[in-house]
Amino acid sequence: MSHARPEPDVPSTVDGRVPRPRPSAREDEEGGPARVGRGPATDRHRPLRIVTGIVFGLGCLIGFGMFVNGFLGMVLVFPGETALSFVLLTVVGVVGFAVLRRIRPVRAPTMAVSILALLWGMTGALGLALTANGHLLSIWNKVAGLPFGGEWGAALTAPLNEELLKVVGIVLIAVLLPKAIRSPIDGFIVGALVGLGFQLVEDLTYSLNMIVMRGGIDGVVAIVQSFFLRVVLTGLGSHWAMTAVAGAAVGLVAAASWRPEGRRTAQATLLLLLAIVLHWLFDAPLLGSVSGILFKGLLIFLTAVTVYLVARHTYRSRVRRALAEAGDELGMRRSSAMALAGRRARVKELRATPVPERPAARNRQRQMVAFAEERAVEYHPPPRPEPVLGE
Amino acid sequence: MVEASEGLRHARPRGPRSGWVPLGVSTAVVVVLLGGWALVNTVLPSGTPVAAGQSMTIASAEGHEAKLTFGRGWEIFPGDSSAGDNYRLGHGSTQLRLNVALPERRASDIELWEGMRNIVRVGDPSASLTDPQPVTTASGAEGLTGVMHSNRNTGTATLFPSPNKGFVIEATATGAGQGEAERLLQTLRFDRVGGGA
Repeated sequence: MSHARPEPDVPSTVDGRVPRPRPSAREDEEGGPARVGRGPATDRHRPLRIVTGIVFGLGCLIGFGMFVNGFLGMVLVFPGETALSFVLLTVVGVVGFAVLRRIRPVRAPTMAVSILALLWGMTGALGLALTANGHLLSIWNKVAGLPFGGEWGAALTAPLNEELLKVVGIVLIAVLLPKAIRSPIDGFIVGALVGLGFQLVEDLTYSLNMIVMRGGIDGVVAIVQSFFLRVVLTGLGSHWAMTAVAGAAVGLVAAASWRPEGRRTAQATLLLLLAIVLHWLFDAPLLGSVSGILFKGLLIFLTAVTVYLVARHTYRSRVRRALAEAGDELGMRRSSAMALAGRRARVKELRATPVPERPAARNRQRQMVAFAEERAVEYHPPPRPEPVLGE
Repeated sequence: MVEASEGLRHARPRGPRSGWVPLGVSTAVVVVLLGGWALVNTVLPSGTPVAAGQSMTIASAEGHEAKLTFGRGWEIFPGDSSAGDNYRLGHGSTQLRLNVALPERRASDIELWEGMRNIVRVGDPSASLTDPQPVTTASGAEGLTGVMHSNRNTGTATLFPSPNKGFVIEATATGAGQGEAERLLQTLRFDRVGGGA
């Protein structure tokens, strides 16, 4: 049963007026209104977007260069094993990409946003983290000694460097395409895609390292073993889940136009710290047995699912409320309007529509959903009454 | 009146923050994580002297541990080493790299040598190994050794499987004075540890 009930007495904007959808710079492929992630390119923000695009592109290029510098030798020496690992991970990547896009409530993020997120994870975050990790691991070994570095180095290095570098990509996407991340659920999905990209390339590097660790023989066995460990055993509770949690933090801050009030700042900080702590737990030399590793992965997965459910519930409630209001204005039945928040309900409605009228019905659905999402992200709780002096 | 205006001005809700702020913060994070760690790493000394006569366990697995006993003049580079996995050691201009491999099965010494041929090419595509010769350490550990050629330098490659072949110590030495490296490898010994096969 859904708990997403409309609240008819509370208008969904501060002033109670129905906001008009922002003019979209680009219509979607089928002529509908702009989807999540496509925003107006105002001249005022053009320099910011250009500089952000350059920073994003440079980050990806430099990161990719660092990855190539570190792993080209292995790829050239073990081309068959690399190809096998690539194919296995591509299958995982395609499935993960589709699932993570699909779980965004109401509508999937645009393909452009999704690919940018994946790209940052695969190149910028991964490559930059390889270098930053190398330096920090070296520092731990030098300062605290090899035994300490071997035991705790990874846990004190990767969570800090990797989580922050992945979050940087989410922030850059939010600045580059402001409509892409306007709520915690947007940040969650974009973060999950960044984490997925990171995880896929990191899995490739682990599989190649595994060949060297096995003495350079039986490479195919090493690849399959690495795939089992990194995907089957721990894949559900890995980078995609941690970065999704951190991404929800970015969503919270971006939704407040980068100026969050105290409570929201605290929530975002806690979410980011939670992602870092979960990563620390995963890398720490604690609970090292198979069941311990499974427990850690499950804990990370369940944490991400909890954050997802809360963010999804909040967002769907707002969209359904906005749809109800829009339905009222159009004279639609409230339940029919609210049902448009669900993909299946939209398809069901289209199927029940006579074929000649379907294009128009589809267009109307898109406009209403886009309108509702615009209104949902502009929702603010009604202002509290000013305290009366002297009371 | 003026005070009231000031009060109202301060009470006015702040508008949205410019996107330049998150962009600046993001760029700063990247610069600190890369440049900051690199700077600290560079400032810290890279090599640590190893006392003459000191023994060091370099690997432990499947009931055996491998130990080296150092002579005079050796240093270890912790920044380029990882406990139980790989080590970079130096003696004057001699560089000795040790890698601990954990083969999935009990491979023959020749199979391990073929695997090492691949591994040396990862770091230097021009590197190649000659056919190996048997070698025995002072403690009786048996392994294989050969010459490593590459466009950059010439050195020696050596491997010593543990007695039950649970792990392998692979060493490559480059630079002048490789006799020191050979002497150090001669001190390698495998000791049994409790509970292992």
